[in-house]
Amino acid sequence: MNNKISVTIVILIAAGLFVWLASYGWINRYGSSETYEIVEPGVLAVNFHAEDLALKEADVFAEVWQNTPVLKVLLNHQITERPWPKSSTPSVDVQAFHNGKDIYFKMTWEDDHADKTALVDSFVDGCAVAAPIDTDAPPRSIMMGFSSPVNLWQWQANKDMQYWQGKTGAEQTYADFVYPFEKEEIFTVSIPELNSAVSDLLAQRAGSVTRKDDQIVQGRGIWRDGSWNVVFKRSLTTEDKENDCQFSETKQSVSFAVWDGDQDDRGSRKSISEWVDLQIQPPQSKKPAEQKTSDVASNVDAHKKSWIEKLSSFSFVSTANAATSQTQAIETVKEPRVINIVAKRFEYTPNRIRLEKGELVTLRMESLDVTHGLYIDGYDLKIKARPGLIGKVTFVADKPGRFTFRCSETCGEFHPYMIGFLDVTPNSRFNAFVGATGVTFVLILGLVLFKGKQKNGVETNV
Amino acid sequence: MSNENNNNQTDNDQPCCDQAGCNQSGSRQKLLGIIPLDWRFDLASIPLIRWILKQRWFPLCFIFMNMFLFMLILMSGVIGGFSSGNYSFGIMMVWILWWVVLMMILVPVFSRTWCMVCPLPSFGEWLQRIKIFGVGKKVGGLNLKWPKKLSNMWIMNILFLMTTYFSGFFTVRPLATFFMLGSLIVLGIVFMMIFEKRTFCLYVCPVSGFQGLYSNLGMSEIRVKDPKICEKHKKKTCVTGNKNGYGCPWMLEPHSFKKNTYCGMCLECFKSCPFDNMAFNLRPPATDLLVDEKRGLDEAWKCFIMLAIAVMFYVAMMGPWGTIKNWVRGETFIGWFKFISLHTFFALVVIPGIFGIFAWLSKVVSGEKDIRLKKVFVNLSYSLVPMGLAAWIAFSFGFLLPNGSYLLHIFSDPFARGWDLFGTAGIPWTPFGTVWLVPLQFFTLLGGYLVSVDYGYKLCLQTFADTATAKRGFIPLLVLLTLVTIAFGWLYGG
Repeated sequence: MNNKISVTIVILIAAGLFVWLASYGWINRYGSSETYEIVEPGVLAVNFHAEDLALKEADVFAEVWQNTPVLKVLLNHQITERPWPKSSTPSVDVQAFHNGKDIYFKMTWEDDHADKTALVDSFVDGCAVAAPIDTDAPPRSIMMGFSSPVNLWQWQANKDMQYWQGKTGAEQTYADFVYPFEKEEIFTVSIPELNSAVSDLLAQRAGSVTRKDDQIVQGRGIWRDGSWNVVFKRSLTTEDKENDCQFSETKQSVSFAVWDGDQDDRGSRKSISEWVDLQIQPPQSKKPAEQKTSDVASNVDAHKKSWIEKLSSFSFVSTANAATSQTQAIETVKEPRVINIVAKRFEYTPNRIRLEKGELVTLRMESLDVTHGLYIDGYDLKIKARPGLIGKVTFVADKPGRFTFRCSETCGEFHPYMIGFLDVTPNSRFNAFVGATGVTFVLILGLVLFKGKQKNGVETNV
Repeated sequence: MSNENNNNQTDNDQPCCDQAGCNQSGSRQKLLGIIPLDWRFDLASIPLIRWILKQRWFPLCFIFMNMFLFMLILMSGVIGGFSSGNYSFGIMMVWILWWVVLMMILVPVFSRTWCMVCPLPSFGEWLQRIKIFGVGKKVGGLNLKWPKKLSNMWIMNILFLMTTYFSGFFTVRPLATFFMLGSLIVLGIVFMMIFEKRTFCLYVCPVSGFQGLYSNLGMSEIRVKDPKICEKHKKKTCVTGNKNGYGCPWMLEPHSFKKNTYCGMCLECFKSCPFDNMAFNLRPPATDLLVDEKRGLDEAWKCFIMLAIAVMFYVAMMGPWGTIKNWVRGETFIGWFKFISLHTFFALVVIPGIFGIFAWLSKVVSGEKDIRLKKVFVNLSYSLVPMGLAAWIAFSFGFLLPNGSYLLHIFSDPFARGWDLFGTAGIPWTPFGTVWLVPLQFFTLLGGYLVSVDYGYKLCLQTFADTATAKRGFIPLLVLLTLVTIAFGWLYGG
């Protein structure tokens, strides 16, 4: 065969094979196509238990909850509110039961910090249960996107504190409505007397939240071991069928929402669930518990903090993963400098942190997109933040020098290059390096200039 | 023992200005005033090693082994490792293991040993030889001569620089690594089919170029043992080949070449030499930098490009600047275009420009008027080789220590199929020794600085007419090397 022809054939085969493999790889560059089914939130069983909870602190962890099925409900960001996508709280464990008279919902979710005080720039934790008022209403993906009205029960940590503990929190923020040209105050600013930690609300589509005249939902929340536990209580049915959702044995669905104040959640900025169908078990006994709730007793109990709460409030910060006992001990002595880091693919802001040697510092990292980590070379500290969950670490910057901090959670193709610098001054290592280079420079210069000549003109090596 | 094996040891009384190891006045030069540059130890003086080096299955067995590994790497680029680069067999093997081993061990110690076992041109070579085992006379392909004008490093310089334009893809996207390695294999076949012997490796392969330059610093070499034997040997089978081995595929004259730049260490000369006159020497580092042969602007620019890429890679990959990362990974075409423009300008103009200023200062300060600036520029540029390699080794520590643990995962699950072949797939990312990262980088830079300065001085002695002018001319170079070292130190840990 002609040499040129054989060469051409070889080249064509090689190039063709390469192109075929490359095109196969290109088509499948995001992996082979696979079909995933959308995970339905599931059905929440509302079983019958002849229990009546007075919503004392112990009732939040009452034995009945041990016997009540738990449904893990995934939460998503509220897409109507920027910044999105941002899912502050990934999931919430929900439970429910009824005693033939009242229905109870319990929501439990992880939150490393209990935010109970509302200030101008800080927000409180909260949660809500929503149920359509019309039982035949078609569910929509957005919590308040019903074409028919929805009944909302919103629990807020500050109201809980006010109602159950009689504390008003920090100083109240309110607007001054006194116009300078008015002789008298025309809008009286007053805080309505609370008769529950839960706001009983109505809404029909976004932006239409209205407080009901009758506040008939009770609730109580306890933050323990890095989780909120909130119990809602309301009668199964009411007379006001126009403004209250009804929990009869017919089909009913609810959705859940969580606000994380630490993540600046407020208003519409929250994490929400899909609609969850309820399976309400008919009462097995017609003897509902008749105990009456004693608000006085509840309030007395409310002032008794559990030892876990006392311990948690004693700590300055709820550290994430890596704070050592040594650094925690120091926290009690000195207020750490808090540095907020925003992580997004593939950079940190700020990307360079400058500290003085010996400085006590808390790194507080928030992620704007996916789960990110932060590992500091030399300090061997690691924290993790996912959208909505802030990672924190408190430590003493006792090692001087420049250290790289890098992402420790695979976050995308440039993950290994997601890097920032931690400068702990003085940078003695670099100073020593420059000093060593400088001394070498001077020595060599001296050798070259002054000791170079030897007998017979033979050069000296440097 | 060392005296017995000092094959190239020169007599102190005999001037030998054309060889590394002696200065103009014929005295023995020493690295850092300690290690004689003409010290050699022939590994092949050990009978077993010589026997191995002469076998046809060596280094073929290593080529087969590497071919298997590269097949896995290519497969992982096409059918596996989709999630992220750090969990891709191809990415981790090439850009963590291979690159680090190449820069830290192979090139500094074993010179171009990688070329000896490189599987990428093997398909082309076998098609060219129409044989895998044994030695044949038939030749496949067109066997054309490579144009003389292109017989230098310029194409490799440009191709290597252009390869780095896509570093934001190659180093993180498995398919991009497949594109790069697959292209090299196909290009190898195409060039081997059209041009003679290892033309592709000599003048085209982007990896070959920097290995060639930096292997001058390598601590091993293949040289002739006794030149007098070669002088008497008229057939020159190391060039023409015989039944035991092919004539030098790298188109060198093994009986007389003096530097590693273009020797691919394929060992054919060991096999074809009927007098066992080839030596595989261990030697002090960087002695080839003093060999005044085939020096040129192409190699000088290779020095600059390698320095520039070390800087750019660090800024883009190890730096904290997200905007630059977005440019490099091609988030937008405009950003990527900015990156390649700045990178090219920095590599081809800024660094050579700065070096040119200091070369000019060197010429001026030396007081030697007759010497050409180009000669000063080219000769002194070789002093950047140790500095450049040190910068690359220091950079590689920054890859290896934090990310090395990913290797344990990918060994067990090479195609991201959820396998756990060796029980290491579940080992989490564990940075190793990162507390020592910056000090290690500083020590490496200081080592490179010392060797660079040492050879800078020797190159000045070689370049300028006499010792006095050389010393004066050395001062600007010393200042430059000091500044470059501090600049890298600042970049890596300042």
